[in-house]
Amino acid sequence: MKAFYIPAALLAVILGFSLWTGRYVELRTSHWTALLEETDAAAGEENWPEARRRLDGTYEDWESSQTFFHTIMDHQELDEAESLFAGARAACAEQDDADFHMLLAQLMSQLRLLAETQSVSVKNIL
Amino acid sequence: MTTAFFRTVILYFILMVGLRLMGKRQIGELEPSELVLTLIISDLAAVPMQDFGIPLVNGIFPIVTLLCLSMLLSFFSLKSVRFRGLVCGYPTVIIREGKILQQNMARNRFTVDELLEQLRSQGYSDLSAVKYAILETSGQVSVLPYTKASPVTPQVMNQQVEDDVTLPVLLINDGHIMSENLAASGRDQAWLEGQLKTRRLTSPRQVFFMTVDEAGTVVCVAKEEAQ
Repeated sequence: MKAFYIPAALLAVILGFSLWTGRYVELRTSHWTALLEETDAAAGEENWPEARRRLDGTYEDWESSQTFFHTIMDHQELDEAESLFAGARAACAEQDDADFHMLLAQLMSQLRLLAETQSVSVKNIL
Repeated sequence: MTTAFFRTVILYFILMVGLRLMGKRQIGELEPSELVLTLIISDLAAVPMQDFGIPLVNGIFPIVTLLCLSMLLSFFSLKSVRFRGLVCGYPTVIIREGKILQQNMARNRFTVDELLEQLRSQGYSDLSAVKYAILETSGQVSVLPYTKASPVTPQVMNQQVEDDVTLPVLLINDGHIMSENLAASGRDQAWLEGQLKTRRLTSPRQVFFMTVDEAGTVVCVAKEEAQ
């Protein structure tokens, strides 16, 4: 029965890990999106120091997850989010309201896309 | 990740079904599951190797998944004859009592040219000499000729012959002494050195190969540079 249990267990581990990573990415990106929405609200109130503090905090949190994210996800998608983060931080430093809102919107959309690529759905599988 | 897992499972079975439907002649000597494994794994391994933007795990997970699926298929094939038939297919008789079964050939997309080629390769140029031909799951054709066309054997001739078939054991392989074989043949280093001495060889390194059979017959081929 070892010939059955070993591959069956390995398949279960792979499937379990895949489902877990999908859920983990979804949780993390939802968390960052919520933080970015708060940042956006602070910028909307012209509270730029608070917006910058929140954005920097979100970026640090994002950066701390990058080693794991790079081992499980397409690097191109992550690099895209990274460059949007850089753009948003620059716009925040410049206190450029229009650019900042646009870049944050793009960044949140990119984060949702990252979670979407890891989710279990018929659309993704097919 | 989950997408990669499910895609791998789906692609594996699609390829399996596809190859089974293609018929035996496309498969060659590999079993369908082995061929699928060979085809996909080589490609899966190559993609993450070439594209650094793709995580290595995305290549490793599908490969491990495929290997596990293959092991499971082997397990179920061992346990169930019906499952084995589904995975590997069944041998098909294409000539019965000297008559070509055209429907069976068509079902396996096996052409007359291929049949004649297979028969010729086994020494049968005349179709009337063949009583049975079976297309095996490996894609090879097994031929059973009529007795009148079969090679003559001592048994057919009612002859009593001495059984002189012996299994040679390799003692020296390209200069290396096969110690386990030497012990298994009931000989030792001293005997081997004696054999070399009688052939004017000073070292096993000068020997390309040396065998000894159950009757004690030694065959020794020296390396070209030692001659």
